[in-house]
Amino acid sequence: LFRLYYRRRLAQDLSRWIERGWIDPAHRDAILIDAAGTPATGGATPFLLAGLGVVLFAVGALLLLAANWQELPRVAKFATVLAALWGAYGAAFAAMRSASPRLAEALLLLGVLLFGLGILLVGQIYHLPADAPQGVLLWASGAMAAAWLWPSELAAILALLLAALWSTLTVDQAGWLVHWPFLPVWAVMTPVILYRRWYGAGHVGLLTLAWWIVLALGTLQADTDASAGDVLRLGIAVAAGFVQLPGLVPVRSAAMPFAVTAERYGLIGLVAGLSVLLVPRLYAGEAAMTDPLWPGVTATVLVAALPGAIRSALYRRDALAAGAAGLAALVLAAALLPTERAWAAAAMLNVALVAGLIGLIVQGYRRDDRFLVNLGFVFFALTLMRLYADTFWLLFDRALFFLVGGVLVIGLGWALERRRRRLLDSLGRPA
Amino acid sequence: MSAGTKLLILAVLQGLVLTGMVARHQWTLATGQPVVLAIRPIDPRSLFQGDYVELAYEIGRLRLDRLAGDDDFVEGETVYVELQPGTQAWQPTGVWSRRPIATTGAALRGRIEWVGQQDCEAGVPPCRIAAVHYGIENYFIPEGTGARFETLPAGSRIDVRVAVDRNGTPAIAAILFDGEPKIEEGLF
Repeated sequence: LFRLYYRRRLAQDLSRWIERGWIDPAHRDAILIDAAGTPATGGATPFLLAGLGVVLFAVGALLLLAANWQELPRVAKFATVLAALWGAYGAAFAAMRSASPRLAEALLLLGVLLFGLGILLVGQIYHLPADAPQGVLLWASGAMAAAWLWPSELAAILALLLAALWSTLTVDQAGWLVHWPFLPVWAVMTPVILYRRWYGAGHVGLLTLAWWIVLALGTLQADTDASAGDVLRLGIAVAAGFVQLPGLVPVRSAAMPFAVTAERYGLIGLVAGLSVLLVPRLYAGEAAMTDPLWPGVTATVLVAALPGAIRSALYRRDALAAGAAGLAALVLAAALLPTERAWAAAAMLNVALVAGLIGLIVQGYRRDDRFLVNLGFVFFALTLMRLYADTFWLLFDRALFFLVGGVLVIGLGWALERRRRRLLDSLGRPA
Repeated sequence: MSAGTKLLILAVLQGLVLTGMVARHQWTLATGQPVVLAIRPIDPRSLFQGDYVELAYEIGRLRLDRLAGDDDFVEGETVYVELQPGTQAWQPTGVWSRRPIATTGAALRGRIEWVGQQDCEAGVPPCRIAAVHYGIENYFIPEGTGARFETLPAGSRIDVRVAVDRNGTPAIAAILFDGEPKIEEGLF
């Protein structure tokens, strides 16, 4: 569907560009054929059916596990596990030989799922000491091997999800504050995802990393003297760090699309974190810092993010990274104000958030990036609703905020429109 | 390297992992030190794992004031529980953060679930209790036969014989009813 939409949009754009003399009309068809890509080797239906078959088979295997196999001796049960595992890989090989790559990958995924079930089953048959995190890590290792060797994006996605599950179970059972061993395990998948340009796996990788960060922040708040405010400020700084990634990656490198995706997740985290921090009930008790350690850690994260902000601003004329870092720094600075000035800090941060969202929308239009524009508008609307219902302020304060803010935004729009007209005039085109 | 060779490597590797799990368990049963542990069974159900009994070991709750060794444990910490032979089951004599080197009995590795104060005896201050998980608390049994673990005649007792390897890892070797092995573990 997205591809169809893209081709329609491209056809419209090409007509306009040809009309303006930017593109040779002779190249129009060639560009459209290239955009359409190579014809697919097969429909999506066989792959879908193969996927459903994999799910059905895996559920059947799970039920077999529950039935406990009373009639079979242990060695026979174990042999069945191995036969099922190797059978799946054998079938994957046969599908590959018969030029059915999608079916082959689905069968490979079945093999990886059966490997995980095999770990469970062997544990049950032989009454092995239960160690859920270790079992999940072992399963994740098998999925990683499959992802690298085949190479398979589906196996990579499964490996990343299992790594996140392993980290969650370990933190829950073994009492880690920050489960650092997750990072090297997660990083094992990074080169193959970047090299193969697996965008789906890239999203899952970033989501699992975000989950790990949220888990670490939650544990820090629960098991240390850090307040919710300290942890939120640290999270905001980490999110701002993600926004710096496109500035640190060479424009033409394979990592750039992933850096842009990381930037988007970072923006969501930054704005969501600040919005939560500014919830009146939370902010009233969490504005001031508690232990200097946490602002120190937050400041360190921000300093580490500086090179990206500087590179983006100086070499790419992109203020998004610097804006995100500046907003996170302002959040940190607000924490240094004494508790009795909490209202001033909250006012400053609300103004900065609204200004930041307007900046995000403007930057979205400048980049022609719909995601940024939509994100900015969604959070802008949510922030206005929050401020409208915000009991932290008196009605008069809120009215003043909206009136002054409205006038300023109208003025900004007017200034931008004047600038646009001047630019078009200088190009000799009608506004 | 061809795709077929890669698949073969993957299949062999994963098969070796599963076989290694079984082999390591059998090695522990064959060479580990046998230790008898007293239990109090109940019969919960697991949606995914068929019937099993949850073995509540007596050494799952340790009175730290009566044991040698360390006592500043935190949740999730790995500990080694030193055991010495008793009249019917082995008894804990110490609990350590690191494996004791010169132990005459056995040292069983576990993980601290929680540490807290409890009223252990009337008229004395509360004592410190450490709950320890050993990873051998679940025992899978044929479907529908769990009741026999709960309906024993009065005065009967159930114990578990485990084999403990050099690292302190336990493996269930047998379920004992009144000291007699009724279920024994093995390769077949």
